[in-house]
Amino acid sequence: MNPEHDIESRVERWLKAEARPMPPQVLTAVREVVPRTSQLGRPGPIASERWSRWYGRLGLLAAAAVLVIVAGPAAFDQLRTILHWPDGVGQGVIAPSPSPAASPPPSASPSPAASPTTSPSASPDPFTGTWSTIDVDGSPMTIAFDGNGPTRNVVVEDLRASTCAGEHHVTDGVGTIEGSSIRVVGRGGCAGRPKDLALNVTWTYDPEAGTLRTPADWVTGLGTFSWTRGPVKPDAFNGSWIATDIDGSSMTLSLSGSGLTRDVSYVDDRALDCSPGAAFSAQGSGTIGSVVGDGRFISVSLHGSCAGGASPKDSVEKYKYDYVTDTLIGPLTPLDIGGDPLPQTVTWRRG
Amino acid sequence: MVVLATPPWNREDALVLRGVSIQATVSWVPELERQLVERAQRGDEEAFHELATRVGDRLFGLAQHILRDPEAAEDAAQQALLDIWRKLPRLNDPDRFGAWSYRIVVRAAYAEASRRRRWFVTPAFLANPPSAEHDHARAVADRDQLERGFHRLSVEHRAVVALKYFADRTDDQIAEILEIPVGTVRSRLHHSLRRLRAELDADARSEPARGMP
Repeated sequence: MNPEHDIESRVERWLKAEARPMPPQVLTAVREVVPRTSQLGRPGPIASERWSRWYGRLGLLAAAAVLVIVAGPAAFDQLRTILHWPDGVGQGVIAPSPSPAASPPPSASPSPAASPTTSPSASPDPFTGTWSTIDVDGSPMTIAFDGNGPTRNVVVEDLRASTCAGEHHVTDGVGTIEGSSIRVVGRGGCAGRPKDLALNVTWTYDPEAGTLRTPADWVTGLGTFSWTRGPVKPDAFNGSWIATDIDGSSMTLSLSGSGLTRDVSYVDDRALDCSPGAAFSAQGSGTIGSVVGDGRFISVSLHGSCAGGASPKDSVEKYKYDYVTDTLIGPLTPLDIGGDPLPQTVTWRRG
Repeated sequence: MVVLATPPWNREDALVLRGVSIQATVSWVPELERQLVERAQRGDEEAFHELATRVGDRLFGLAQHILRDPEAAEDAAQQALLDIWRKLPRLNDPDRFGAWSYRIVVRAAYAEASRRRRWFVTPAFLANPPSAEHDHARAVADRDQLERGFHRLSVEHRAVVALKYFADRTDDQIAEILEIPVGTVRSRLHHSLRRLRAELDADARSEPARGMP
């Protein structure tokens, strides 16, 4: 018999023989939950109930409003008579002119949050200011736009450039605004050395995300970069990351190092697989991978055990660093990597 | 004579109803299932429960083979059925329910594997099975070797093998379900079968030594 066919038929027989019917408790649980679960695009029982409650409340509010408008003055007059209020008391409630409390004080100035200068989408120039992103090796890069009119002075900095053996790389240039994009032409070099590297790249403003994007071919084949406003992050990955496990215990992932590899350690302070209350810890390394969307992947290999060396285990995991939220997401499943992470995926925040 | 004009995966329905004429099964079961899908899309809970009862075994079986953990498979199957209920109104073509439901159960299985963390026992420990197994019959040994080899595969490799040999999907259908290129499906199958064969071969080579001091 063809060995290829032999193994296929043995695997097929084995898989079909090993398959068990679905335990009845699964269907029972589904039967209990479905009536409380609305379908996408359709108002479910809960949604309908909620809407009917809201409609009821809206109806009551509308009726109350009509009552106040129609019968309000008369009712207040009667109430004032009953309570022996002096003239004027209570009349401000339904006065047609705005009450003093409702009008803004003359000295009030718009809050910073409402200022158009701090809202990129409302600003005629969304570029001015400093933006940052993360380079392929996890180190930070910044771009600063300054000036007026159709052009901007531009400084692009790679704070730990591989072409400069980990030293600072600076590019000076001029940006020309073209709609929601700015094309930057300049020359750069390692700190203290001649500027011998030409730059000709377009940054595009994304009003929905409030970010700048550079094209996929800026650093060959590495995908788009998202640039965000705010403090420059020292490194995409390095530092302590904290998350809560499904059993409520605290997990810490610590990364350090530079370049495309990182030293990684992991601690779960109360691991399910260890003896009650015991911690699980692991050490290993990570390799920074490709840029996808707003993030960058790191593949991590770990070897660990429960306290005292019990239950040794290995893992190979993949995490995504998200530029915009400055979070680490993962471990990811293969389908997460092609699309949005599943809702259950753990999000790690800087500790 | 009824012509099998329906997608190949409807063959599974025929297997569900043992004892019923295959011709009759092939002709009316897909239509019934289609009607159940359409009714469930309109929010008919009873239709959905009937549908879940009919497809539950194959979805659970797939989750079981991907996860190799009955408890995790139960959670994944339950989550998949709830996701199917929630997302059914977005399914444009009820005839594609089979592939679509497989995709959802694979996603649920991946998520379950992720939630339970992907820690796995160091292979060195797995490579030394208990000596009691040496006394098992050939069929049992075969099963154990396949089980061990399957455990060593990643969840994504197991998903491809289970879709191919348990769910009888073609390479193209697997590619569509998993949203990966057909070439990747084939390379994962090749890799998985090679690993499983190596496991069986290793067992066969060690067989003459069995029973020796």
